[in-house]
Amino acid sequence: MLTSLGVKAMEISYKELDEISKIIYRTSGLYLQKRDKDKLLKYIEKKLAEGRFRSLEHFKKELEHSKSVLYEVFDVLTINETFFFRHKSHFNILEKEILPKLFKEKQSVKLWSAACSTGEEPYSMAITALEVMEKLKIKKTVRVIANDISQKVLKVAQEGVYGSYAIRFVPPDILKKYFIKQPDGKYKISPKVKSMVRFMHLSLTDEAGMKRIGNDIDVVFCRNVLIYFDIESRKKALSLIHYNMNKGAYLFLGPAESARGLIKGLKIVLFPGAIVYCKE
Amino acid sequence: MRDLVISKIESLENLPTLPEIVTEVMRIVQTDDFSVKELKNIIEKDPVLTAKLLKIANTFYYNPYGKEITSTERAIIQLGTKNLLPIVFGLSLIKVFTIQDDSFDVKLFWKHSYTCAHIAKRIAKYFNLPDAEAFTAGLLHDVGKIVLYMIFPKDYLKAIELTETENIPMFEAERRVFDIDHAEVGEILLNKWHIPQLIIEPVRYHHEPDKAPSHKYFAALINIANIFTRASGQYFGKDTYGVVLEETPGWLILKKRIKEEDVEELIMPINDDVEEAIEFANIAWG
Repeated sequence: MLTSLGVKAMEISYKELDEISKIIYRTSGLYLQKRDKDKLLKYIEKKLAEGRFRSLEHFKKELEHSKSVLYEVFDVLTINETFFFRHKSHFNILEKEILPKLFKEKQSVKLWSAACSTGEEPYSMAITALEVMEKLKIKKTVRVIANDISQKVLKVAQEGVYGSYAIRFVPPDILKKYFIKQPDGKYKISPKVKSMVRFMHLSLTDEAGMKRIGNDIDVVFCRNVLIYFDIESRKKALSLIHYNMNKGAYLFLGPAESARGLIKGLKIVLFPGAIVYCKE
Repeated sequence: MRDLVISKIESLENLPTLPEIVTEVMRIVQTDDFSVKELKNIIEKDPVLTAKLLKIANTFYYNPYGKEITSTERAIIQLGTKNLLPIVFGLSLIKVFTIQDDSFDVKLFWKHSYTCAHIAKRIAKYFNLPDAEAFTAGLLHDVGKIVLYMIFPKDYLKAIELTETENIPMFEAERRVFDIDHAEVGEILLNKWHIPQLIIEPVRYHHEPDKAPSHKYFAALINIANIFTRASGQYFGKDTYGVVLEETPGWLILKKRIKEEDVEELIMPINDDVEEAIEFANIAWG
């Protein structure tokens, strides 16, 4: 098929797509599944037809050298989506395995949402902790630290008001318990949940700033964040995160993300539906 | 209970037998000298199976770049004769065990089995182990579960419940209820079916590969594939405990077989395996 610009769009083969996927994996640590490759193929074909890239080679070069092209690809793959209880199996493991064990061992538990965006993740962690405490009929001190580099998203997080998209996977009983319905139909996070979360304006590669989080973290969620970093920053962020973790603490990355380069001090733990790292 | 379970399986009472077509394909491919035409003639005796085989040959996994395959002979060549038996197995087995009871999630059971087959096949190449046989062993590793359920449905549901309340693996729950587990039950059935020992051993020892007498590496492979399958979310039990990869018996055995431990290379494509497995399962269901 020839596009208006004469580019043979349909000639992009899966072999070439594999190559492109390898570039993405190398530069960001994000592993593309077949369905991602299908989406990527459509995107490249469209951009070639629009004349945004002169050729596949041009696209590959841009992808390697320009962050904005890489970020656009992430957008196409909807990596940067955020909503409550995203990657449900992670919250299942937190609820059924990790928190009950922590609550048995200690009085005070510290969770961390590293790069928390608009707050859905840290609030989901806090709600999970409240639910576990209620189920086990125990009272513990649970603090959730949530940081982000963007003040804009932190403002939204602190307001804690969400539309129907963000809450679409929140079960009705949880919605009723931990949210207050607003006159405009939106949902505001309850003060009880909000009081558990402390927001901080920090970059994951800011050494001094990261020390302020404290090195007593029991669980870190750092999902679909490090893919935006170059290899050196990824290494640095991971080592700072690792430093802040207690021995035996768990680190959750995005399901298609790799922690290559810092695998040494972390063990891989396989749960049903989730692969998690644990500090040795 | 143990003796009762064994005697029931030994008598094959109410238990399915291996479809004749699988037996025939198995017999042919085990001979030194066979032709694609011979295989074609056997396969084409069953038009439903033939249609499904063509669909498999045209999936992205087996035919990513090529033109549509429309003849059985071409399909056999495309799939590769070594893969034919595992695929025929995979397509036939699902129809052999029919359960019409909602309390046993038979679809999830097969999704788990197909995923394990695909993961085992992929990682077998990594460890330099026979990948076609890995597929069959992965497919059959839990067959004892469905057998136990068919013979003692109520007790089996109790065992499933135990995995949740006690947070223990299925084989331990089965041992508590039946004094025998699905791995051993699987071995008894597969012996009845005259399946080669290379397949039976990993089925029998997929939870304790260090005990496998002759095919330790292969049993270790299915042990790891099974753990990866659980981590993929295609999981039948209700336990939620975590497993440290480097401490699993399979890993301790297999790590000797690779120069550099690049664990992530093994783990990252798991979701691709799931996609392929579900596509395969959907074709098998028809």
